[in-house]
Amino acid sequence: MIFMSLIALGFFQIVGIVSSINLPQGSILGYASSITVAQVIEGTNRERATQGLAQLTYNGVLSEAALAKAQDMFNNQYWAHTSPTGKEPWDFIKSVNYNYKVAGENLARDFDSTGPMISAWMNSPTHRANIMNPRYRDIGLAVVDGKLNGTETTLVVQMFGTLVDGSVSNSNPSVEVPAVTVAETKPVVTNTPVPVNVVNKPQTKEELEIDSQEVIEVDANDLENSSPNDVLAIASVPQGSLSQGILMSPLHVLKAFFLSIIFLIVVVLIYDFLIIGHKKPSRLVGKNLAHIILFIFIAYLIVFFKGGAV
Amino acid sequence: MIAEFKKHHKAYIVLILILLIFSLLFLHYWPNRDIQRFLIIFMSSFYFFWGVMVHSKMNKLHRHVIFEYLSVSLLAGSVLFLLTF
Repeated sequence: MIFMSLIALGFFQIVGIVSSINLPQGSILGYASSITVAQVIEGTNRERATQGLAQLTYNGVLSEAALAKAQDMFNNQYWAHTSPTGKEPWDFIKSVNYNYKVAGENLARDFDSTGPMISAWMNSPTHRANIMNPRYRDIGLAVVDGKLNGTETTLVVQMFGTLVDGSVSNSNPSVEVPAVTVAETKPVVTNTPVPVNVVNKPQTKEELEIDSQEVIEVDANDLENSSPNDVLAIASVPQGSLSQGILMSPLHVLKAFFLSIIFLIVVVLIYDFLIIGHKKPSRLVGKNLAHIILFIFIAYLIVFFKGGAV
Repeated sequence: MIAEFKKHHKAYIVLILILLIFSLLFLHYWPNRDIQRFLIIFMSSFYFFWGVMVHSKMNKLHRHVIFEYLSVSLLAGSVLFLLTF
């Protein structure tokens, strides 16, 4: 039992050491995804088209809200629909004067390409409900690279909405790409965000219905008269910060590490199996073939394991 | 290896089938991490009990064998479990 505990302790110690190595940013380990706003919109509209739903129109103001949300998550180091200070998604939407009657938000992180991210959203009933909601007309997006909890990642904020009838919103995006400043000192809130969907009825005091049946009140004065700004739907890594080094995500590094361990174990087990086959000594241990089969399955799962969180 | 497989083919077929089903379910339930972690715990427990049962039937169950299967199932489970974070 002591031997077992030592093995387990040693294993977790090695994993801890590897994960806590603080590599200088950009010198060895860099990471950036290939996700673009255009791809996400195209993927979203493709999914909607399969159900005959209307195509969503890119809205620059909503994208500004999405960018503000993404920057807020990096600055305050959290991963949730509600910030540690209690800021809700629609607070960001209201702050850019998008006068909505219905709105929603999907989040994603750690994906390195658009296809798997859209698939993950579609595999999640709540995220899928947002994408396939026929009440939405506009879509806003932010794809922001940065450091969350000490790990290079890409956050994708997808905001949906429909303007109150008669409202005007500037939906023309700017082509500029801002540099995003990210913080990495505050602790991360690690609760998994559930997509939110807000219905905003055009009355003075309005009830906002969220998909979890929670009801909150919002002052409609906050939603008055928008003054749309040019918005930036995509933000890239500050130039130079990730320009050096190998392009590998933390998940790929972890996969490579575990695969190396498993490869080593399987080689030792096969070697042991062959030696025992020749010498046939009396021994009490179990069956190497079973262990080899198990580790081959584990290696297969590691290879095909898909990262990302929604 | 083939001789060993033939000798206990029923036990190995059960093992491979369960691992195959586990693998398909594990990949199917992506990106639901909670279900994936539940499946990992199930797989680790299954492997441990499979090893104990097989050796018990052969009257070769020993403390060392129990520790061996416990450590292998823990290692396999831990590797997959850590990936899901």
